Amino acid sequence: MRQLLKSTLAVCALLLLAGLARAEVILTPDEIEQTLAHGPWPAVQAPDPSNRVSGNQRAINLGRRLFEDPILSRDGFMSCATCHQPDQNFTEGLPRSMGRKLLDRNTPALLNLRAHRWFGWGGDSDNLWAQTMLPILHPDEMDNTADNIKATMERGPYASDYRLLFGHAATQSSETVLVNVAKTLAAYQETLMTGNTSFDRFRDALERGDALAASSYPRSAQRGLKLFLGKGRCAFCHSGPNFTNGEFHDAGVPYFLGPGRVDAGRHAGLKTLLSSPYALDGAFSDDPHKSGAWAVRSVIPTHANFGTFRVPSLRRIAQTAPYMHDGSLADLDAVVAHYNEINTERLHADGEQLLRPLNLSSQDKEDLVTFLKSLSDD
Amino acid sequence: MRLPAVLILVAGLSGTAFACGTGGSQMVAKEPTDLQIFATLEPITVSKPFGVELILCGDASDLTVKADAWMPRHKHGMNYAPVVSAEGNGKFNVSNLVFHMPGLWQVRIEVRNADDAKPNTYLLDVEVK
Repeated sequence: MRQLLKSTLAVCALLLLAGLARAEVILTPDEIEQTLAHGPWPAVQAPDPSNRVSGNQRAINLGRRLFEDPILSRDGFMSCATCHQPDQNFTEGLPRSMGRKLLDRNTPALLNLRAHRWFGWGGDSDNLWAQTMLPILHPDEMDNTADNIKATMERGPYASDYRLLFGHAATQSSETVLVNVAKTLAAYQETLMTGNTSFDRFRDALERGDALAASSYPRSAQRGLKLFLGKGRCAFCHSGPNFTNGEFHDAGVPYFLGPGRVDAGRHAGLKTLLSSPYALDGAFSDDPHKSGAWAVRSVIPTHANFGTFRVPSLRRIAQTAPYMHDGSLADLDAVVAHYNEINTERLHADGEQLLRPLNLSSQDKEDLVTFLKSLSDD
Repeated sequence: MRLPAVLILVAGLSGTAFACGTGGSQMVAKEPTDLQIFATLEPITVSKPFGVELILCGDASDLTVKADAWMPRHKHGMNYAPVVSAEGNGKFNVSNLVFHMPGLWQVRIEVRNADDAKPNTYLLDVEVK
């Protein structure tokens, strides 16, 4: 009898606990459904079929060493890691990149790159190895040439590593050697993934129907998530497990760079992409099926692309300040304030009608930032 | 110089539709017509390409079919041109549709007769989570 009473009390306690826990999940069923679309995480990552050394450990090792070695720049002035600093989540911590001179854009974090369809703020490339070649050759950055890269891979300290992966550089064209080097760098960068977050644990608990586990996600973060999905209109662009739709939008950030200079964003990026021999429909892709080439073949250039920039992922966002394509917003509070008080005069008159002032309260803004902070590994 | 993706295909294979009305969602024609279109959509994930199978019921011979989609509340369309292929017997496949935002999308199928310059447009509302 006593045992039965104990069991009954235990069941009652569990039911009470479960009821309390459920009360702590403040999302509506529709919001829960939307939340589930932001996972699961980490996403399954397949090797890049356009890069025959994608996932190859020898290539990853070589790519990591090359990434941090200024030998890839014309005069040893800088390496990839000079701007994409490993201890700063592969950003630079500055508003705008410092190459050989101050550049026009913020250094983007190099995280979760296999999930991308387009690369760079303007989407100049449809694959990671092609994008990786741009700073190597750019006169304001590493300022190197394919001929120099070939000479380095023929006779330099990485000659034997290169030969084991691709054969003798001496027998290959300079362009082929450059592409191969970029493919090892891409193989390394693909390994830079963010981990599980408190948001992911919340999301997975919702999927399992585990209200008790879900209830450990702070109430403030849940309120912020509700704003993110609803009134804040953030999830229209920051969608999916990587919190980006991978496309290009006008976020109301000025694109004037100074007298007579503008950053055309996606408009210029598409010009580069569509004239590139290194796109996924080109001869340098190792994918015989050209499986990712549908995007470059069917993307529609329009004048509305002018001044639009790629939507960044929000994973580990709290650790990759400053923000926006020009690094003009110093912290997450400034980002939330920007969208809360957005100047619609700055938006394209014929553009999409998505952004509007949000009229968030101080508590709302705090909650939204709390939610954004929950997207970092913890 | 890349050519823009092919949007248009002429269905000259047969005027006989098959399996009419037995599957898919019926699209709403803007102008009164005897031709009906039933659309079956593949599962949609935001920002991922998907396809639609169209079954044209009625005289589907010598028709030109175009596909597009639009977000009426945001006043923008897609960033990619879908590809339409005629499979014969009034069946068409549309590929490379990409809805890059959650929300209400409107699939638009434009059908034009060979001897008729004025197209008819068929609409289907799709809510994407």
